[in-house]
Amino acid sequence: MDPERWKKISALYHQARGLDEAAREQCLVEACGADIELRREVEALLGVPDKAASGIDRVIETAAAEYADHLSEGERIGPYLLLGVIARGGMGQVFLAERADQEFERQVAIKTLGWMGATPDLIERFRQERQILADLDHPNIARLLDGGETVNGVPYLVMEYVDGQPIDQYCDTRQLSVQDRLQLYQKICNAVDYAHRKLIVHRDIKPSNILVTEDGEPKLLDFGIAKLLDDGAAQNPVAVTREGAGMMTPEYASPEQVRAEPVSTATDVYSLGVLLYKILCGRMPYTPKAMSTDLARAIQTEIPSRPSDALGLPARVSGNDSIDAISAARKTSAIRLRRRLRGDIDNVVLKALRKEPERRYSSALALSDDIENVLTFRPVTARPASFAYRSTRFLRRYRAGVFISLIVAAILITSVMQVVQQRDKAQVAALQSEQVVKFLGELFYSASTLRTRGEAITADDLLAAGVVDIGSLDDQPQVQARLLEIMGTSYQYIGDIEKLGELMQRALDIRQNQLPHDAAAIGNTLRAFSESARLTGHLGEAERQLRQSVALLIEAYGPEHGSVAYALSRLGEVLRMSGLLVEAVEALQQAAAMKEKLGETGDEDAIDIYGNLAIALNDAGRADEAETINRKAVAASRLLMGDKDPNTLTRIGNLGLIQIRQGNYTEAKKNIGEAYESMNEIWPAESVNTTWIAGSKGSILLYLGQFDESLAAYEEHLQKTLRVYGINSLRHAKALQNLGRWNLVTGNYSDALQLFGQALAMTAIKGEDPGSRAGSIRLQMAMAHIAAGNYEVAEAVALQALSAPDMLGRGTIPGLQRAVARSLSRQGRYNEAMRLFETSLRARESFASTTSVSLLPTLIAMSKHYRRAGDPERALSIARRAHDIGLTVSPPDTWGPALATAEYAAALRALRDSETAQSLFDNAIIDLVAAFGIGNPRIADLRQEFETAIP
Amino acid sequence: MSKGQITELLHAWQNGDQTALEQIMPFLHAELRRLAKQHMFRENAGHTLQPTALVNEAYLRLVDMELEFQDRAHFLALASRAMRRILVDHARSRKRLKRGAGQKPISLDESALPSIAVDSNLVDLDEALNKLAAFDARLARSIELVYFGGLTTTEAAAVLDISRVTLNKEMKLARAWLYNELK
Repeated sequence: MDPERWKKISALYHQARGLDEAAREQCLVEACGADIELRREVEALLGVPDKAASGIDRVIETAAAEYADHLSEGERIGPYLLLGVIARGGMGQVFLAERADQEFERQVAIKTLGWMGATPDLIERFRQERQILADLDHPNIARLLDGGETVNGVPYLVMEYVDGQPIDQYCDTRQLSVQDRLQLYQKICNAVDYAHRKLIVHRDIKPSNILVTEDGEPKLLDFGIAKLLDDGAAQNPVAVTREGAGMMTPEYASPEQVRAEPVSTATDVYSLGVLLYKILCGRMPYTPKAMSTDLARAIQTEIPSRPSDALGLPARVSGNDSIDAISAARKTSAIRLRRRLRGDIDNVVLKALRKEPERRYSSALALSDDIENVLTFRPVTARPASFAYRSTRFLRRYRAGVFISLIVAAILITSVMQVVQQRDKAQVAALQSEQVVKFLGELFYSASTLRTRGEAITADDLLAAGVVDIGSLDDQPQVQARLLEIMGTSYQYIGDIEKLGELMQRALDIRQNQLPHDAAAIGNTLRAFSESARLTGHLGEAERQLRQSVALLIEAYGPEHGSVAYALSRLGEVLRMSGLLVEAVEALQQAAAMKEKLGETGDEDAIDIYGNLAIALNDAGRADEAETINRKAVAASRLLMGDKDPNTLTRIGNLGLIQIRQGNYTEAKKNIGEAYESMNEIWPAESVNTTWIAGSKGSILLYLGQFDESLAAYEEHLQKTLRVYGINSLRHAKALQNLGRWNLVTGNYSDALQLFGQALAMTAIKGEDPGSRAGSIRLQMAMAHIAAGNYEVAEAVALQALSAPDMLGRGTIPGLQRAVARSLSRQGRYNEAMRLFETSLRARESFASTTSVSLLPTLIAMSKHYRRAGDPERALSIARRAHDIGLTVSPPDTWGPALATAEYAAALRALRDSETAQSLFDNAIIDLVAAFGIGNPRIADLRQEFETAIP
Repeated sequence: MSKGQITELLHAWQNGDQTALEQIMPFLHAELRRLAKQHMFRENAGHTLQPTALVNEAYLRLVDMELEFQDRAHFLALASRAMRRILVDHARSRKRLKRGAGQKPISLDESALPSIAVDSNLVDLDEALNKLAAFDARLARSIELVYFGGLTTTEAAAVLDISRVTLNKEMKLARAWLYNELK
């Protein structure tokens, strides 16, 4: 449009806008005259309602949401090309997809978790689904083919694509007879039973999760909220898994799900009952009214009508079919259908729908078997509920709460103690039983984890108040020793190591001096006692205690026993802390193998062993193996102990540290963040766990380039370290080293050097692996010297550390070699530098992998070296490798990979490909500026280096 | 980049130094991109991503101190430009992909008329704004400031150097024109 004309339109619009209709008309006629077009344009604008504005908001917000949630048709997830959306639901989106590389022609369904509304809870459920489903291989269960996370961290599952109809619709459109329906239904029962045997509960069985294909095969979809049951619990007919409420579909939910109680395989049996009800008589068991609470109440209290009776009830919900339509869909008449259902089938359905899990069929297979009885006209096991059953149900509806408050706990402990003091022999004997001791232990344990804002008595309170007056038990040494151990361990949980040592020492004295020799008991006490030495850095003492403990436990139990495995694993942990990684991994693997051989893979010890094996593997540079094992530990711990349990949280924090090694910063941040938040809820601010997790938080934020936050976390780590471990401890050195490293990365080289100097001075003090710590500090010192241009000093520092290689951690040697090589290269000693670079690279490749992010600094330094030494082709191939490794890092825009990309760009430019080079460099600089800030000296150095990289 | 540097650059920019804009733009771009991603990770069930909230958050994070009113407004003006560019670039790349795969875009549920037809996407809006800018740059700019940058009318008026009353009147015209253009 012509601006002059627009001025006219605009002026007229403003003029006419304030006028009433008649005046407006007149104004326009006068102003426009013969220019009808002008008048029409102004009128068109005046005619737009004010509300039109909301459209702009929506367009922009929709675009922003898509920007955030940008997975859609035509895009790729991993090797898969998305063809279309099958469904969008509470759990995310489901896409139809195919392999983009045409390796397999078959179509698959990909289920993702959308960003919108993606709570950590949902993401976790999704991840569990992935792990669990991988185990299921049954013709009537949709297969899990693949899974992973997109570059943006959206978890996804690749599943067999089932082209079928929901079972209820399938039965009706095909007009299947009752007989055919029962046979089809049996297949589902068998599939569910198969999953139950694999300790997997479906939890959301409903028609839309059961598709029947063209050739009549039912396929169960979506084990979305299934959780592994632990072996032990599966032995029990009312085996439980945790949680489970909130995700189910109300109409098919069991009473226990409605009450948000633990669910079990019996829950699926119940839902199978609702499903059977629906496909046989075309009705639902309860009369759902508008309010969902009515339905919830009905599920818990109402005994459903018999299916044969329900059939005759008037259609309750609009859209429900008439009895004639229902009968027609089953190729029969109303009278015949009712007769067919009456009796045995009614009883079978109602048995599956019992309120109490233990009164239902004991398994999906038992349900299937009873249907077999129906089909073959044999007597069924189900019987109609007795009058007594029906009348007492009401009374049993509300069970007592499962959890005992801590105040009640305190009273309980007090009364137990009174029993002991009364010297009632029978009762004291009972108290000595493992069960009572275990009860007290669990009470302390749960108290030590429930440190929540004054709502309940905490373990601190219980322990400090001396609810258990140990002194009053002097003539009960057995009980006294046991309680000392329990309380000592509780002190360990709340991070009071001094008390731990004190109580364990007392317990050990009692066991060795006042009680008859009991190898098992002393072995276990020593094992627990060793924690004190370990946590205060007296590793030699800890190792000695543990070797003695292992020997005693083997004496008591033989070479293969859970207690032996556990003590062995603690020994492995101490060896790891001493830097003896090969021996550590060996001991821990031996322990893990022992547990597996014993079939004890889901208990607390197993979780601990897996967790520590993961740490040792990670220390040895085997991050991928470590991640696999650690995930095993997290999953088992979540299952056994729950999400907010100290054990689970420690494993989650460790997983984050392993993921840093893998370059998966996105996940690492999430896991460390979760652990940090929850640990600070559970433990006192200044305790062992809240300290290390603060350091971990600093590290992940450093890698992510969130430097301000990283510095704050490192400072928090230092403060807490000083309170927990004291000044001049080895931990203090580590905290200073962290801060030094922060300064090194952010370009404050002189501050970095000063901090490293302080830290190094502290390693002279005895404690946990000072040699290894000193080596790692010297490595970073050398790096800071190189960055500051002091190549000869750097070389000297690194060579000094390398002079005692036995003292060094495994990852440190190649790093030191690299530092020396860089110094040499800078001094023009190219041949020596080259040899050392190659040695360093090979060493790291040998224990990490050829694609590990830990190679990045070496590869970048090598590319720079070869450019300097006049071999730009070699430089380019190395830089390219670094750049490619950088692409695997998540999120991709962190400074580490950006440094690799910047180097790749410089290497390209040196070989005259300046256009690609420039665009790569620009991308890298955006990320680097975002991390370091525009004024950072590192940015200026990189720019200059890039610009001078010319052939 | 320190807050001081940002303020300095803003002043330089207001005083006509275009290189200042170029210096601050990649930084802002990176910050907005980072924030958008962060929002994705956040727990906000049922919450729509509000670009204007991102811009304001970027402001708070980058500047984190009381700026002169004028400086704040200009910072936000700059951020609104960056925000628009990011979202439009993204929408364009998606459009290409969709066409390539020959898929129909998913239609959103449409209930509250009258408003700009929702199937007109951001790319259309951007094109319409460019068209508008060709004959009335100020009108197009006012939409950008308020809708992409989340500036209050007082702030936007200050950036455009007009009164708030004028701005309000002009916004109505701009919206009416866009509505007809995208109808």
